Amino acid sequence: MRNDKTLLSGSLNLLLLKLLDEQDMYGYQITETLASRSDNTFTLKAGTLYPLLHNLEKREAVVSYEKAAENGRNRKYYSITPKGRGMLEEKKAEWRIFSSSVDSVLEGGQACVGA
Amino acid sequence: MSEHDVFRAYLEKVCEQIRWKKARPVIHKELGDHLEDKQAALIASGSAEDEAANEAVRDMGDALLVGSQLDRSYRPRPAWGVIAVTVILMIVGYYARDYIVHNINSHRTVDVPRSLFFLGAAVVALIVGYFLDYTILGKHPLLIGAGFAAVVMLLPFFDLSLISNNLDYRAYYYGTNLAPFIPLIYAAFLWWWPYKGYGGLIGSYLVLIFITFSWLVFGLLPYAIFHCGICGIMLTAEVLKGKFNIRKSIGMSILYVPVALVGLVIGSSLLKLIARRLSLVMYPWLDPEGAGFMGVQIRQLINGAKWIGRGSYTTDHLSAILDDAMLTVLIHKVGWISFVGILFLFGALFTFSFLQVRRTKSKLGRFTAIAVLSTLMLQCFIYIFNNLFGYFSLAVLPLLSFGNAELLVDSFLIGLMLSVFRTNDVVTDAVIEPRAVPRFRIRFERLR
Repeated sequence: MRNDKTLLSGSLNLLLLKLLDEQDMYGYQITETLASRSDNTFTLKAGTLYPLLHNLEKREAVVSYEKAAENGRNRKYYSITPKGRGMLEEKKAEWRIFSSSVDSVLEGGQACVGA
Repeated sequence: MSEHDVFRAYLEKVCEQIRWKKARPVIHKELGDHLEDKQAALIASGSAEDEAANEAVRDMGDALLVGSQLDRSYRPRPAWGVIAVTVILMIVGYYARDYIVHNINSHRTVDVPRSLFFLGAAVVALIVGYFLDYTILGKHPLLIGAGFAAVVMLLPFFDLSLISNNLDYRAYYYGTNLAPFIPLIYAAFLWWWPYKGYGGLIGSYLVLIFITFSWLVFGLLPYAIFHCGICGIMLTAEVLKGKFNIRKSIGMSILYVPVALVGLVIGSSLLKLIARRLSLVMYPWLDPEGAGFMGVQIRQLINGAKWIGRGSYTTDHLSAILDDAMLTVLIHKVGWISFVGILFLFGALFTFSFLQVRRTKSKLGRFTAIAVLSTLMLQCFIYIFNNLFGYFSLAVLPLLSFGNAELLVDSFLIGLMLSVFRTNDVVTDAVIEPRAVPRFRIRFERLR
């Protein structure tokens, strides 16, 4: 089954904020966590990830800092801010409305077909 | 571990797409870390080093595309609010000075070409500060501090004759105009100062005392106290934030007990002089033709001022007090409304600047911006206080009052502060590499 990437692009900020809400992460860690959690459905390239993170930082939804990672090397970690948490809740609500609207259209289509 | 050749080639290609050169090292590092981590994961799952490197690069995506996407999101962010208010203040200052000189009875005239020249020079100084890489303050703090000290000490001895043929006056002139740089230089020094403990605190305190007494050499004790006072506040803040890893109560005692003792000694030996000055400050009519002259004129003008329009007090001495009391004269000529307007502009400048300082990530950036902001706020406070009450004439009103050298200095400092705000997205303390602490080893050898 092919995955429509336009479906992903609108949800990326939501996914990133959700991951960072659980724990602070650096860029590579975010891509790996996202891929493993989604069973490789969501595979982010660096060219997509880092501009998104930078834009979230400009909007003060996340902040960055340097810290030693598990491998001992310094990495740039991202951490969600209270403003980011507020944004996350908004996006979650938007997603619920969007997905339930899509579901009700799909279910309504099946009912029509069955009638 | 050195960078793999494949990574270096990829990253260089990406960074070539980034038009803002200051962002390139930040992007290079972050993407380079990503490549390293990806390569390490592939090696751990059995790939050879070169194969893992190539795979990691393929996984990143096309270098040109990645670079152009990053170019769109990494742009300098000018602090437009601060810039706008600064430009307005410069223009208001130019026209206010021009208006005042045209509207007082004196032999003073407006040299329009000279005024325009210095206004243009102030804009140039603002731009120079704006595009200057302020991180050099953190990279070479000792060199810059020593260079500054050398300039201050040696400059008066050059007979430039543009200022004066009198050495003492030249020393005074340069000392007053260079004093606003003291908090900036000390802020960078404090950011860099690597020594902890009580020794570290005492060392940084001794540097501050040395700076204060250096200004005494020029006979500029009040300037030393005010500007070094800002440095003292910065040092106090660092003690309270735990920079030196010492007990805060003892740290504060180390800082303020000597100050209190010196104050007591000086106060008791100069008691009569201080009492006389204080009484003149509180009641300048004690010596209206002498030391209290400025105070009397200012208070009379302020008491007679109206909300809009010319004040009721008449005097022939406006020209004599103009340099130190321009705001008083403006209130007298135009009304309190001019004061409210100027207060509003400075309030906007400081508010916008503080909001920017709050979002500044780099500690050096915050130190730099706070040093400049504190200097400007102190100048404003002292000048406005003097112009309302006639207490002491030690400062200029930034960008507004008379004084071409002061205009250039303040413009440059504001430009430097804007440089901090502009580069906030890409400057962190991690990318500033100060010079290593000098270490000296003495080896003894027997002479043969």
